[in-house]
Amino acid sequence: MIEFFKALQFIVENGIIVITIFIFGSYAALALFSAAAMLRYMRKNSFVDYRVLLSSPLAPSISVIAPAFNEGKTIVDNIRSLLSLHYNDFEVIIINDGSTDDSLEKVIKAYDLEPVKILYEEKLKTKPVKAVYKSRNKAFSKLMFIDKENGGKADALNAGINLTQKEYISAIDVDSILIEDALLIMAKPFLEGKGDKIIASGGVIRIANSCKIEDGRITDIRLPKRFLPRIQVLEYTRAFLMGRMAWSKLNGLLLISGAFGMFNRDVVINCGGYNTDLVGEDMELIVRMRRYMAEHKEKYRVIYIPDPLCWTEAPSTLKVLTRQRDRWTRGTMESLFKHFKLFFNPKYKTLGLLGHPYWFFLEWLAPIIEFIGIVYFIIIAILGYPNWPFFFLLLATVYLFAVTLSFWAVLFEELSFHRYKRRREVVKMLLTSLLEPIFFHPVVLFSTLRGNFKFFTGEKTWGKMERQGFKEDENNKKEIKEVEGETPEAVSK
Amino acid sequence: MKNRIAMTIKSLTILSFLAIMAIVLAYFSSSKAWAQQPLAANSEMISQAMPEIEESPAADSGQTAIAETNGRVTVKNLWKKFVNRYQIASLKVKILVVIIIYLLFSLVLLFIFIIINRTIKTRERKQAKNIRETYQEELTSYLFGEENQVFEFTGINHSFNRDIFINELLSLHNNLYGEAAIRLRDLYFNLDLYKDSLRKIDKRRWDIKAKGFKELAQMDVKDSSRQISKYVSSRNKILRMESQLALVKLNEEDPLFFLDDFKYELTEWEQINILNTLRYHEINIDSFERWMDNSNDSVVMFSVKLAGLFKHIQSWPKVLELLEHENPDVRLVAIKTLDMFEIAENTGPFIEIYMKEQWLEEKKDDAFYNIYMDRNRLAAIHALKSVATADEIPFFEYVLKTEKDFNILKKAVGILLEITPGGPDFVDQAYERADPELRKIIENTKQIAAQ
Repeated sequence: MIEFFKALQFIVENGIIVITIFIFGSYAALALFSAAAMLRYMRKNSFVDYRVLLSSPLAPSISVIAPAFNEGKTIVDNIRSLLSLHYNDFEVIIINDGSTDDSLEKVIKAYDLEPVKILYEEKLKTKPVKAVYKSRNKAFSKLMFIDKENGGKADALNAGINLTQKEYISAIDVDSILIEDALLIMAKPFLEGKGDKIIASGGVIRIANSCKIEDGRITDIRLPKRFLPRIQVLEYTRAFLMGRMAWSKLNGLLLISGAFGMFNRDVVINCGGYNTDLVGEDMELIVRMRRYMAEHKEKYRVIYIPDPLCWTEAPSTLKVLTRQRDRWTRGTMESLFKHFKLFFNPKYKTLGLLGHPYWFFLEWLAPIIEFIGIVYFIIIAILGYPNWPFFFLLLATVYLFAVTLSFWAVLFEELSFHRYKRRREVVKMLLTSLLEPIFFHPVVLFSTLRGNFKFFTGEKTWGKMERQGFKEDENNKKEIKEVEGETPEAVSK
Repeated sequence: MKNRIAMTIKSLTILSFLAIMAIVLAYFSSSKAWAQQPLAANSEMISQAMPEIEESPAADSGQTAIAETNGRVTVKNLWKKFVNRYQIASLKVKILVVIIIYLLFSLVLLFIFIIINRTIKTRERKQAKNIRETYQEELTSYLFGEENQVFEFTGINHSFNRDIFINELLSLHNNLYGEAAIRLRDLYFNLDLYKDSLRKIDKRRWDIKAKGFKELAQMDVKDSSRQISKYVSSRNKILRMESQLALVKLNEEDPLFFLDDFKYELTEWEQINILNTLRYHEINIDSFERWMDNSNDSVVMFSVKLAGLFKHIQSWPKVLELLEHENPDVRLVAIKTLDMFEIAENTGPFIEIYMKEQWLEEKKDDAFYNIYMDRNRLAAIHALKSVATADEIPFFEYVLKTEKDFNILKKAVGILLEITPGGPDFVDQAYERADPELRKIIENTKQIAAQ
């Protein structure tokens, strides 16, 4: 029996160390890949003139599709902001997903809408569309407003996809703020495909808490004043600039944020559109699209753009944050298990040999192993056998590695887009990096474990979300939005 | 700035590597335990050296934790006891200590670098802003001053200032026409700034070369075209595109000569940029037919698109031939271009191409083949919109009977409703014998047409 426990001890301790080294190595490798990719991207785009797309008859057509649920307080401004995007051949499709507030009345009045007859093919099954509206005012001719029964974000997006005839669709959260050139920048990679089809592109999502916003535009970029959103700035910077950039380079990107992404319409429809039964529909669609292309032996790429094109509000309370992360975990698990066929399957090349296993081990399994490690340590601590110096050394290593990664992320941001201009903001970010592993990581770990528990117990709800509006920091006034059941949620991974 | 990113990454990588090496060497060379005994035998050797020690249940992966029981209490002994108790000298611990020292070193280095970089960047930005404003004022004075007046531009011999000056001059030139633009170009030559641009072409970095191409093309330095044309088939796609754009501008006699032997795929982004250059500089090309037989399909498609956009209606027989091309993308571009020509005689070819572009059962596993067929048939039907007459009603009858694609049916009904005389009457008759889906399409299309 003692031999058995010694063997178990050996396996657990050494296993955790090996996995830790593997995780460190993976992050370091991704950071290096990202650095190389960023450098090339910055050089490549230093003299690109995106305006050529504005007037070119060869520019592709784009449909911006934005589902909205109970967004009455901000929907009129949000639509105005979308209509003022710089692009020539584009339309804005807003889907009112059975809102129970006054969204519909407000939009009808503000944009002088009238119901129109539109004949379209329901290639993707959705909840019934009640009416389609267009403006009498020619200034808003690019706007189409769909009023439908509530079916969730994925269902609303599918309804929008059914109605559009444009070549590319851009799925966005209606309350996200896009920079004016977002479509121009996002469309470019689709035009650069050589032999391989660009099936999707995604951009960096930035956090807009505490930024100054006027008329649906960010006029002054500021670091969030509150601790929790500020930590997420670091987290997003790490994930987007150091992670996804590398995955794009390796052609292994599995996720394009639901807050802003662009897709080839034909491929989306061929794949069956967004899956309405899942909470992580954005990731699952990309995995399915990639799988579809690989199975049909078509060359393809999913592109990631590091430019800060989309700004969104990050959760500023622990309650909302844990719900969001819990849902992200379930979304990740849905995609990983639904497409488990990809796991180390050479037929799918990078997707099967690198992308899926990476997400499996590092995004799903790593927090579970971390939890096992913690439980194991608590047990040996209670039994009185811990090797304290080794424990503290290991803890210090992990802590310092996490902080170093964040420092690198800050450096990436400084050398690339340099959006936070004030020196004190940079110092604040660096100091926040020191606190993140202590205060933020445990919360994320807890949420992830809860997500795992809910996934295995079969819970599929989005959960009740409470979000604070962008104006909160300016006016110290809370705008609470309540979202029940399986309704759209703005802050997407 | 891009240079600085590269330098930073390189220097931090080298420093990190040196730091790791230094820490590892320093740490292990100073460790007697490492130098004197293999780790695998570590606990065994300690046991032999200290017979009085007692074993206790270990926390560290099956190794023996040792506690010293005898001996004088000195700092050295206490440390030894501590080391033995917790196996401080084990390989795992040594590795962790090395990593910690390295990470601490990196953190300090990164912190200092980020702060210094921020300070330098802020200073440079302010400096650049001031210099830019100065040059803007000086260039405006130059433009509105006397023609023969001698102008001195502040600190132009300094490379940092000179770069800013070139950028300002080019930016101003880009927004001006006529006499003012000519004066700026003269200034560019008088100050020998073209030599700076030419030097850029010889640099190793491709982004600097590309910048040089842009400057030389904008200032119309025709002598540089030979140097630039070396890069027209470069493997670096950005360098290749920038050289093409420069040559479109500089090579007036044959702006698109590089398409003759172009071996790469001409991306849509390249096509858009070339078209933009042609349009912006109002460059005329007599005929695009020369490239319609090219073995490179992307070149063929681009030339056909250009023929359509520049209304080279005389090219229609050549474009018509391309309806037989094996590549469905080429056929689509040809249909759309013929549609743009709006030639009434074109109904025959459109009907013919519609009949050819049919679904193939054996291609059902191909992800896009049948989509291309639908798309091309739709384009052919769309092209009939402006030229169809009552003579085409039998063809539309065939379409309504056989077609499965929703969008094509919708388009066909829409066109029929506009054909006078006879179109609307035919639609009413077709409605009577239509299946429920087609009936729905007809009903809705009629309602939409009435809106």
